Amino acid sequence: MSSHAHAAAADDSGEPKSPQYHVAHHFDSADVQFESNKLGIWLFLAQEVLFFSGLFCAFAIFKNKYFAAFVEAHHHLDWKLGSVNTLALLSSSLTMALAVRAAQRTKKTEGVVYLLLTLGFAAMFMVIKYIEYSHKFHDGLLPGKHFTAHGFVHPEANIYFGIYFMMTGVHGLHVLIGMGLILWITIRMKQGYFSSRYYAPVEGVGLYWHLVDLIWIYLFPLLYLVG
Amino acid sequence: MTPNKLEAHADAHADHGHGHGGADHVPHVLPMKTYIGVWLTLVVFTAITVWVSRIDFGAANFFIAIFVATIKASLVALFFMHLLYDQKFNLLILLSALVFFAIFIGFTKFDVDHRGSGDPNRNLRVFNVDDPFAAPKPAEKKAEPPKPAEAHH
Repeated sequence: MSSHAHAAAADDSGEPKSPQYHVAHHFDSADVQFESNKLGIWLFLAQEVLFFSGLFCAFAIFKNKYFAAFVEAHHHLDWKLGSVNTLALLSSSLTMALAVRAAQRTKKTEGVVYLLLTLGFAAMFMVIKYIEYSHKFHDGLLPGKHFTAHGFVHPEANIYFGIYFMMTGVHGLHVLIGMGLILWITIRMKQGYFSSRYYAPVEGVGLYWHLVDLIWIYLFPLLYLVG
Repeated sequence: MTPNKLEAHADAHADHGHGHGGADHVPHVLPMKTYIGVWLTLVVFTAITVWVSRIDFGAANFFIAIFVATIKASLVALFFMHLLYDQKFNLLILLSALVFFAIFIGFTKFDVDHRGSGDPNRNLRVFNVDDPFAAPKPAEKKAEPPKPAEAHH
């Protein structure tokens, strides 16, 4: 059908699908280009897992060594705020996945809405993190020599807060970088760069964002819950 | 077949009329209910992990928490990150990173748990290998040097 063929190159508003898109000459096909792109993202994510493994290793070793101090220290974290933050990140992962789905179906407006929702959940996470951090700053629960809190039975509690701030700090940095990337993708989406033909950057940022969620899925029970 | 699947199918055909390996990449679109279902399961498991942490299972606390977290992480990786439907090589990359993660933590724990245990002179060492990260002992009050004025008397 000719109308069918015409629909092939245009999105629902009649705009051409990803007009800037082309398959680079060194790729055999569009599929090869897409998969190569994704492979690169996965290699980066593997590196991210190994990057965080240093912090998880420190946590495992010190927790084993000073179990009582860690149990005492972790009571200074608010598991309710931690739970709300977990729900915020899980929801942001959902909306991010739905934004990728929208891009796959060339739904520009739907995609922008989901990306903005993702940014909203991410901002909610950072605001709650800020509240938690300021509370700890106020109580002097800071790492190393800046630890000025009193009344701990176990003096090694400061090691817990050193690891807590490093792990959540580096994770929070990833959230901020992710928010920057999502903002970039939102603008590009609005400009009509993405369609079922070409959505690799949306998928790539999505994968990165889900990894940030994955890290938090482990951080939350380890830091807030397990005593 | 759900409307969503039909939609994905139609989109693929509208675009190409030929399958993979053609001029365009054909997205594999998952139905909406898969994403919502996964998210609901994640929320339920979050509630479970919080609820379970209020109960003391002793040494099992840690393993229960890690077990639930791993179920959640697998759901995110398989569905949100599309690993279930993806080239299996991407899954292999993630799993190999996790293998090295385990080697790193496992070997470090070996070291810390057994460091110095074969050393016949371990009790003579200045550095306490049994407690290498101990917080410094509160500094003892240094005896004030006698003031010159007092020293004269």
